Amino acid sequence: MDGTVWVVVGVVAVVMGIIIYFSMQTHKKLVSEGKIISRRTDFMENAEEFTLTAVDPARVTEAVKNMDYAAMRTGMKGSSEHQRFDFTGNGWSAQLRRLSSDGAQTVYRFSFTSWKTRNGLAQDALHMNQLMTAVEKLFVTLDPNTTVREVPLELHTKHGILS
Amino acid sequence: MRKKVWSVTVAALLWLGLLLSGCGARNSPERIVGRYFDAVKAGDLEEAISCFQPSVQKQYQAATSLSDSLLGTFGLNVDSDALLGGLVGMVNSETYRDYEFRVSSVTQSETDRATVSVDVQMGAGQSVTTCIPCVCIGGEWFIEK
Repeated sequence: MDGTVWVVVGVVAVVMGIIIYFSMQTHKKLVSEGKIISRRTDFMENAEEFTLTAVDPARVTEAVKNMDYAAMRTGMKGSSEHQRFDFTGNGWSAQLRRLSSDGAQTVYRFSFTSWKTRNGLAQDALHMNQLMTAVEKLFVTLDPNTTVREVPLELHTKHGILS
Repeated sequence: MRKKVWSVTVAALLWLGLLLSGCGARNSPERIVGRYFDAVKAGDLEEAISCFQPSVQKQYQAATSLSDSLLGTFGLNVDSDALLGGLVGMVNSETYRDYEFRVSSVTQSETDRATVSVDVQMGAGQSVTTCIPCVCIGGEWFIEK
């Protein structure tokens, strides 16, 4: 009996080890490809405000449209006119919108608007990280001198009976 | 000569096999997204849901049936619409009937994943752009949720 228990524990440990190994490999690969950045686990709790030189809104819209949504498992709906883009992932949502534009500089704000957690961690942090990284790259590509300011979000937690 | 005919036949059969088993044999990302928006315009919820990947279709059916039982037994209402990001409300709304949906581009980043960009004309000169991720499962394309 004792032997069987140890075999089961051993098998579970090996399987968990394999899962963790492959998950770390995937993470490393995405970091090396520049698709994600190693971030704190609570990175989604801060909004990012990008300040760049005045930019043609059409260029921002085009760049947002050209992000790799299939790889990020994310949908996007946006208005070029209002410069507001809503993203929907698996159990999370985010928004990018223009805050101001005065002819000399433009400010855009990117923030996650909701996300589901499991054991205190975002369930789909990998794809959230991918989107945030893609947005950061987008602005740096449009203006290499873009500055980024992190703004803590005001968080409200909701508990569902069935979720 | 005989050998050549044999090689051509084998090549043709292989090509046919690949065509029938690979992604895009039965539909395409563009077609599934087109079908989805046609269903939304027509107010056909079942058809719209059938465009999503099978796991989402099953989750939606399970949530709907649970909602029905809880509503009947305890008067509790489960929001199964939330699962599809408000699709039920969207399909039942008259707002979308006159919208024009036009696929502007399809980008296939992997053999089984693609993004379809759609321009939505809402009338009065207003428009939005939407990018929809699609996934190929068992040789068939679905909208990924």
